[in-house]
Amino acid sequence: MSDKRQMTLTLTDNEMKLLEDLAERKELTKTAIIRMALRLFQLVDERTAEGGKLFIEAGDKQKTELALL
Amino acid sequence: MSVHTAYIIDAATGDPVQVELDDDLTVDVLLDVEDQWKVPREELRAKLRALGVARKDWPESLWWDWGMKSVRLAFGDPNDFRIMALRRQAVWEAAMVTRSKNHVALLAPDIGKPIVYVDFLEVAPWNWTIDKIQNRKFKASGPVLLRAALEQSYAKGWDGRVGLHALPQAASFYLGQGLQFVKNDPAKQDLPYYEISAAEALKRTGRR
Repeated sequence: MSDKRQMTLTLTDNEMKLLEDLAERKELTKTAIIRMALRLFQLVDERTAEGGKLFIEAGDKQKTELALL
Repeated sequence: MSVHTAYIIDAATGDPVQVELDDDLTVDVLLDVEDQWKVPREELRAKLRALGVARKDWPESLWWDWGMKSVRLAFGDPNDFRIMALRRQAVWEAAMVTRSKNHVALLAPDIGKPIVYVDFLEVAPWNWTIDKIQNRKFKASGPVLLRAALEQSYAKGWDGRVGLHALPQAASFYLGQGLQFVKNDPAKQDLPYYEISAAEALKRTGRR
């Protein structure tokens, strides 16, 4: 089992607001939001490095590529 | 979140081992679960490869990633899912995600009535017995979590009705727990779907 390590994070006001909003909306801590964002970033990084593309499927099953510009 | 005392069994000695059943965890806890289970899973994969075991005979949940399940749940409806897990000191021994929206019984006489649906249930990799590689460390984690799903169903007034799609290797486990095979489900990669009826749940839990 790995231990947890602490770090200090410096964010802009907008980024902090976004983090606080997400934490409130998801009923999670800010740390939890950042940990999940990191996990998602890792997945996207792995898949795109393999040549994969990201698609968002809408409610009507229409798929749109999520362009990483 | 509420925490209850539960017991699993030391597979080597048969002694009961006290654990905590956390029955309403937040999604980020699954990141901790993955953190603890990832390396043992990788080690098992390496051993299976080294022994030349055919892929079809590998544990079917060996490719699960609780970190990604965590992220997926975070984008979902928190009123739909519930996360439960067994913790022995600081170690996660088993984890489960249940859902309580949009799932109904397929078994008579309760067809169409709501059920608790077990989306995922897995015990820690060191709790798997794998021929020629390892004997499980603890047993009974799965039944403890399944019982928790039944209790969730009772708490909702759903008479203990629970359903799930099982990985084929887990079929005998669920049958042994009183679930009944209903059908292979084409909507879920043809996975077998099982359900425990209110009557069977009553027998299993000893409720009156």
